[in-house]
Amino acid sequence: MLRYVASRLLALVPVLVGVSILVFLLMRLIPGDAIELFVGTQIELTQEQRRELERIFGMDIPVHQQYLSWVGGLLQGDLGTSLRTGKAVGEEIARRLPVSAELAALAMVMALGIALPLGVLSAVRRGTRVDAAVRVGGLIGLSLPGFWLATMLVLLFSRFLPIGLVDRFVPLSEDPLHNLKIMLLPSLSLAVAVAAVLMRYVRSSLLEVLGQDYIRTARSKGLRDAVVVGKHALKNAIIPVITVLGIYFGYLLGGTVVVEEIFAIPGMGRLMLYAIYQRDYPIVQTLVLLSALTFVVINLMVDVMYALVDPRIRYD
Amino acid sequence: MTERRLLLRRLSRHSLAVAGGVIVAAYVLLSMLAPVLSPHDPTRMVPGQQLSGPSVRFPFGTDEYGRDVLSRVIHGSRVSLTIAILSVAIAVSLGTGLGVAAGMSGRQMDNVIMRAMDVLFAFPAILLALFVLAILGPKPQHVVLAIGLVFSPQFARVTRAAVLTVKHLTYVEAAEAMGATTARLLRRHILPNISAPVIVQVSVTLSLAILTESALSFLGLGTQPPAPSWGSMLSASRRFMELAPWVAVFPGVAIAVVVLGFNLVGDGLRDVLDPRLR
Repeated sequence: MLRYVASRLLALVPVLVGVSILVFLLMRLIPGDAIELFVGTQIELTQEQRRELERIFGMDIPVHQQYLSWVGGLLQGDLGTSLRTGKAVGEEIARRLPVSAELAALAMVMALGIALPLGVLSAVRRGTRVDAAVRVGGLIGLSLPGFWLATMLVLLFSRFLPIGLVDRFVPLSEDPLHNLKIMLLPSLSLAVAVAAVLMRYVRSSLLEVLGQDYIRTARSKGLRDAVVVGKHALKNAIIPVITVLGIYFGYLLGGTVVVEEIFAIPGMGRLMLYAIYQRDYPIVQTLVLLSALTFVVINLMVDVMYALVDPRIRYD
Repeated sequence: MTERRLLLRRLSRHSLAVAGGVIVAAYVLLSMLAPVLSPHDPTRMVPGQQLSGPSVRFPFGTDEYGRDVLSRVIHGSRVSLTIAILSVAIAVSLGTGLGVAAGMSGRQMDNVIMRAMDVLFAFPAILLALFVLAILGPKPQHVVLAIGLVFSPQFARVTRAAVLTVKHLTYVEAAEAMGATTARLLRRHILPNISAPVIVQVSVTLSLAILTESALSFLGLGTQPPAPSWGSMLSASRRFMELAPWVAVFPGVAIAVVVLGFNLVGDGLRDVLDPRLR
């Protein structure tokens, strides 16, 4: 097991190096000069001023050295400085991460709250109309564009049901109740698609478990259906569901560009979007690398957890 | 051939898949016959009809320039379907090509290809597309390229896994022992047997491609106005949707329904093609 984890961790290195090179290059390939965007079109820079800015931004050295100095800094825990605000990238991220994390956590809770009961219902009533309805409902949930759902929710709650769910963003620490109120719609618009996927996993996983011998044993002992499903089956069926949940959480943690943009939530996704528009190299590079890191680590954790929860799975 | 007919028959008994197929076929027809079916010119601005609500003359209402929303939604299907189909074609050729190469060649080549795919896969999808469009400029052919690139790793993975399973089956090894060339092995024995997971992936990816295209247009990096695209219509509608909800509602419904169509077909294909789930 330890060897497996070690070898998997080692395999992450080339992938992360690849992502870091890719984002570094892509960022520099976007037309538009970071310095011109920084100064604006009103001001004409002299050669000296331009060179001075290049020096401050660390752009006076060859590109490959810029890359190495960025990665070198990362390895020493220095994430760099935002070209736009002059603040440390770590600081900028620390301000946004809790917002995206809250959004992701709320969306996960809602998704699970929707998916678990419906998935169980669909599996227990397999082949009935209830099952068909839940499955089609799931496919519909999967088909709604997240940004459209978000837009419709805004429309509904600002025009027809103005109960204060659409409002300017307030941090959780400032006014928890108000914050939760305005985070409700954004997390719901993210939760729907996740719930649709989760539901399918709950259903198929539970169906698989319900076909096992020990379930038949439990039933033939005369246990009630609710006990069999709730206590014996669900516990084993939940593993793949946790996997999907984990992957989505990691994905949402990186920020959701479109939903954050619609609800004007100052999370990671918006930070990234504007950093790309403004060619804020250090921010974009670090954020992309961070989200790739989260993605691969969560995938690894999921695999390891599989092995821990289910001793039959062995990776050697 | 009998195998294929058997699958088709099974698919035709899958009522949800049939419903999905009908939806998709309707959209394809709609997009091909768009100029005939649209009641108005999708780019013509009717003076004095800005943001007027649904009526007999304009069943879906008009937008901020007095253009007919129904005609724009119908023409939008051309943009969405064309981009989705072309980008999935790119993802399939690129992904399965690389997947077959990885599965058939030695360990080292396999490693290089799959790590490269991992890099693309670990890169946040919408951002990768955003980057490509920011670099190349927001043109339809670049949107196709960007979406195709984003979805190719999934095809590479699915294909590679299928190749690895099929490669070691006795009949393939027998063919190899009898001196079949790699090309023959691929054409006769391997490709026909890995098509099932790839076909399922195609239908799923078509739905994702439509969603991605509309999200990119929504962010202003996809199809550019005045060309009617569902995503950019939605994006523009946000400024006045409280006055004119219809401009925001209909393009979204158009997206959701066609995506549902592809999802239904994909679900049915999975039921029919994957014997483990039957």
